[in-house]
Amino acid sequence: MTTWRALTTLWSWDPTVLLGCGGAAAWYVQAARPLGRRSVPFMAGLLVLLLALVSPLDILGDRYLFSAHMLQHLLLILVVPPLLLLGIPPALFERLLRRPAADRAERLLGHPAVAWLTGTLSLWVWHAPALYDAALQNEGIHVLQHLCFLVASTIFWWPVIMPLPDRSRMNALGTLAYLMLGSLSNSVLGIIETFAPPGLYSPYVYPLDTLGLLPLIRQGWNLSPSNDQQLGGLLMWTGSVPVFILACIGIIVRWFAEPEPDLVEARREMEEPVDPQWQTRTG
Amino acid sequence: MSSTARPSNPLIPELDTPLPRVTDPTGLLKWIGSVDHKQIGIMYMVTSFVFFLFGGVEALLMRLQLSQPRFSFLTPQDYDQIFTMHGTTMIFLVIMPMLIGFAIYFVPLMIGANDIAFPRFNALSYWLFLFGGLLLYYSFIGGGAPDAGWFAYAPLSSEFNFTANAGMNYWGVSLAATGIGTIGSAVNLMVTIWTLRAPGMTLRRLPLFVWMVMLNNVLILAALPALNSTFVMVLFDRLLHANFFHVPSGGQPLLYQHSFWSFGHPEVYIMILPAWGMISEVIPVFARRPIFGYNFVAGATVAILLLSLLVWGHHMFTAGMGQTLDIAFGISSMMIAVPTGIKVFNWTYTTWKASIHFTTSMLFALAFLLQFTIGGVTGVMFASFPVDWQMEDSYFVIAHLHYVLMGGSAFALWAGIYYWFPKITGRMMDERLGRWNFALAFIGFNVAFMPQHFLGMIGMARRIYTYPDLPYWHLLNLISSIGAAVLAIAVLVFIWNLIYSYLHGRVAGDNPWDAFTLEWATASPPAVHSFEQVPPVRSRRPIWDLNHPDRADWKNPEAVRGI
Amino acid sequence: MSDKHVMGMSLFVASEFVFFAVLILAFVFYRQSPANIGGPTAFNSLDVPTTGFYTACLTASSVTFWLAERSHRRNRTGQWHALLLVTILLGGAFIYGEGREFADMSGQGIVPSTNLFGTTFYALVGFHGFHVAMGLIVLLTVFGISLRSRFFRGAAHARAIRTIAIYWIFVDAMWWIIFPTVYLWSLGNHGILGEPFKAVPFR
Repeated sequence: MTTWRALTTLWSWDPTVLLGCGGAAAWYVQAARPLGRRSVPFMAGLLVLLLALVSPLDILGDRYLFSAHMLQHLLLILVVPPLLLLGIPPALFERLLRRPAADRAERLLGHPAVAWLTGTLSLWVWHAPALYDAALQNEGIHVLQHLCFLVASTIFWWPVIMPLPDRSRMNALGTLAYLMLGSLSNSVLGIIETFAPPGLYSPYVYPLDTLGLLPLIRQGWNLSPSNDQQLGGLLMWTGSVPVFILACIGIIVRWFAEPEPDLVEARREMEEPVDPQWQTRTG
Repeated sequence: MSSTARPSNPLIPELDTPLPRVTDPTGLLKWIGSVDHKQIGIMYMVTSFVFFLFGGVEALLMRLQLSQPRFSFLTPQDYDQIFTMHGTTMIFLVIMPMLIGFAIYFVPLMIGANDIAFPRFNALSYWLFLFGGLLLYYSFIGGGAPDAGWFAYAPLSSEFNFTANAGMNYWGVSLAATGIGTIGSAVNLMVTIWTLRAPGMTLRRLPLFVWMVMLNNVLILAALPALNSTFVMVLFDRLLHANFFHVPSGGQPLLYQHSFWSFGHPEVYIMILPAWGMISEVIPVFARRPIFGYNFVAGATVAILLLSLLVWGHHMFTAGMGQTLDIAFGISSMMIAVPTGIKVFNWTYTTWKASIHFTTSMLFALAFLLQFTIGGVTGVMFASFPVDWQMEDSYFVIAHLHYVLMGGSAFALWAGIYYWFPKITGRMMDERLGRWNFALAFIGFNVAFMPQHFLGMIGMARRIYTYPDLPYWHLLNLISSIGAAVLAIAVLVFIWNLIYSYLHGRVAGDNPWDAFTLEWATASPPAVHSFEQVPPVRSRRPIWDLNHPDRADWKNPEAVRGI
Repeated sequence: MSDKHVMGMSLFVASEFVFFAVLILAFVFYRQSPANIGGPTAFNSLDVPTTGFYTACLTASSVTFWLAERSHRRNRTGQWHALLLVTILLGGAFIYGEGREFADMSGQGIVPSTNLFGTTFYALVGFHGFHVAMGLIVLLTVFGISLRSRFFRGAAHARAIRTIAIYWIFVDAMWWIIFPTVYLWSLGNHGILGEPFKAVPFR
């Protein structure tokens, strides 16, 4: 088994995943008409979701490598939800939130403290060895784990992306603090996994080698259980930081682009024609 | 106002405690009892400058000792104490308090406030700094100065019988005291910035100095407590014979390094962020235009804030952390170079095709750009751990840290002092003396520290009190020592300039530089009540707007877009 | 949270979390060190039920202080004083309990210099106790001033009480991180580290 063969043959075309992603794409095309620039991040998010769940990452992560599983999870919690949220037009959110149940849910779960704790706790709880190992051994629990990650992370990213400014409960500085604390929490978890003695998650120490991949992994890729666990911890510790930095930069860009209401008044007082470009930015 | 005058008006409640007698103290008492942020700011600046002279003398003694191989001007024990005190002084008693002093003086003025949020707490922070510093220096006569290096690695520092004297006890206690003062200042400045801004001064219109100070406060609150914990552990080991780092009982010295550098890395950013803020004020004023890319400078600093908490291990590449940790810290250390580079680009581009006024302040700021970049480049070299394995604990590190801390922070402080001296004292500093100061400092600094890069590369280790007569070692060390001497002369010229200008300088007026930010709306020096009225703030350059209404920023947004 | 005193105290309290985090990390790092075998460890030296009782006192004091603050805001001076006194007594009980625990332990020869457990235990729990003691001094001062003058009595001083409340609740919250880490986590069978050690009184 060579790396090339592994990368080309270990795809798991799970029908539920394909149906789910396809269904989501179809729903989006129909609900977000007319399709604008926002379809790019949404489709990209769906593509990442699909790849995370059908590419070799899935099989490697399920059965052999903690680091592969970690990469898959990081895609699910840090890449997919923000992209999906960015891709849904605000008008569509308005329509969805017109339902009283959805509205009430947003008011509860959208509170920054609740959202932050939901995202953070779901991560920490599922990394407890007992639960993590159970997910590796039971497919139902594994699906539950992935769903938890997706849902909880979407809740986490909601106050950050906040496509509906009227519902925003944090100012820009607060959002930056929210993101930085989230990043630090990720890093602490990653540090614990990196420093913990190997075997934190026991199924990865002596994986059942039904696919004949172990020689490639242990010798070819030089991933002993110890290296593998450290690499996984590293991905969580350092690898997640660029996402949070990009998010912080995004928040700052959005904040600095906001119009300044007192200037509109002042210029009106000057009785000079207001710069038309300035005016459209208020909208 | 005395308690005997009791109004009988039913609307005025009876007082059951007499009013305090308000007397107006004069002279020294006025300063000692002061809770005014301007006076306390000046006290910080003057005190840290005095400590700078102590640290400078320590540096000169070191350079003298190192000017020749096998020189015996200082014994090894003396040398250990002197280099420890030099580092400790410059970091904790000079750069940090000097920058904090400028922040305490100018942040309220730049946001249009009349005082800092907690004036008495401000005074307490200053006195903790002063007495902490005095306690540290008392150690010279009180049993011996600390001698285990400014970062005092365990177990050398933590075993009570590994160090020659009780100096490390002084180190721990006095720095804990100053550290608490610093934390207090951070709380004070943060609350000031968040609650006392003038109307119209939104966070997006903050002068970059204030923005940098605001982010710096976060770093201080995150890092200084870790340092206090480290002191607790070291003092426990030393005084109670505890086992945090006591190897025979299972203690691990590497824990000290992780703990210390979790403070130590954010610390270096604490020492540079306000300096970046000063540069961001000085360069636009003397290039006569708004800073290029305000948004990028502000945003890049936020990225640095997050990253600086995650790179501490790059001080420990040679400690044997293992490949994984080395990789983690190497990657994040390389990432952190990017936002800094963005800032340097923005400052430099601000001067592009600008009408530059080469005042002394601007000269120091331009030298900062060059020298800080050099220091930054050598820093990125260290992020590559194979390079670090070769260069760690050599003079290459010393060259790097002096290029960023002296060529960077100290030059930025010089630029800030020349820029703001007219505001603080009401008199202009002498430009001729200033040019001499600059020339001697620039030449002296580079002659002192550029050769140290080469010394590091040819193998000279740091913290050695002498060295054998290896090829070029004597020559390079001698050149470096001569540079240090020139630098000392530059400082003397500076002191002379300070005194002369204070006594005979040209009267400055409110805004001698036609500068942009709110502090220039006050008198020079500002009255006790700095602002009776605050000018309207409609952009990032309110005083420019006020003085040049036809070219005001808020009327011309396209010209001053932050991008 | 736009009030500057509340803001300032919150920032200070946040920084103190970092201070304790380092000491907690040291404790956790050394908790199961083989160097502790044969000596006192978290698993054979701690009296969890007794400390649990004093923990309940500290937690109750947070509740009583919150109630005291409420009475103070409603200008019910008698209630304010009474609840503040109860808070002080409960906090004092916690300090007393911790002092007794330290005395008992040092009687068995467990001191900071004993081993890694002794070092990290006394540093962490001791510094927390120090923070509680400082808070207690503040509460006593407030109580004294409030009894003798109008200051601290009227609702106009609610901000000051709120600020102190933030500190006191932080101290309690900190204990709810330290107590499980040090005491609750030590429950259960831990093999050789749980074996009793030979107690040597510290002289």
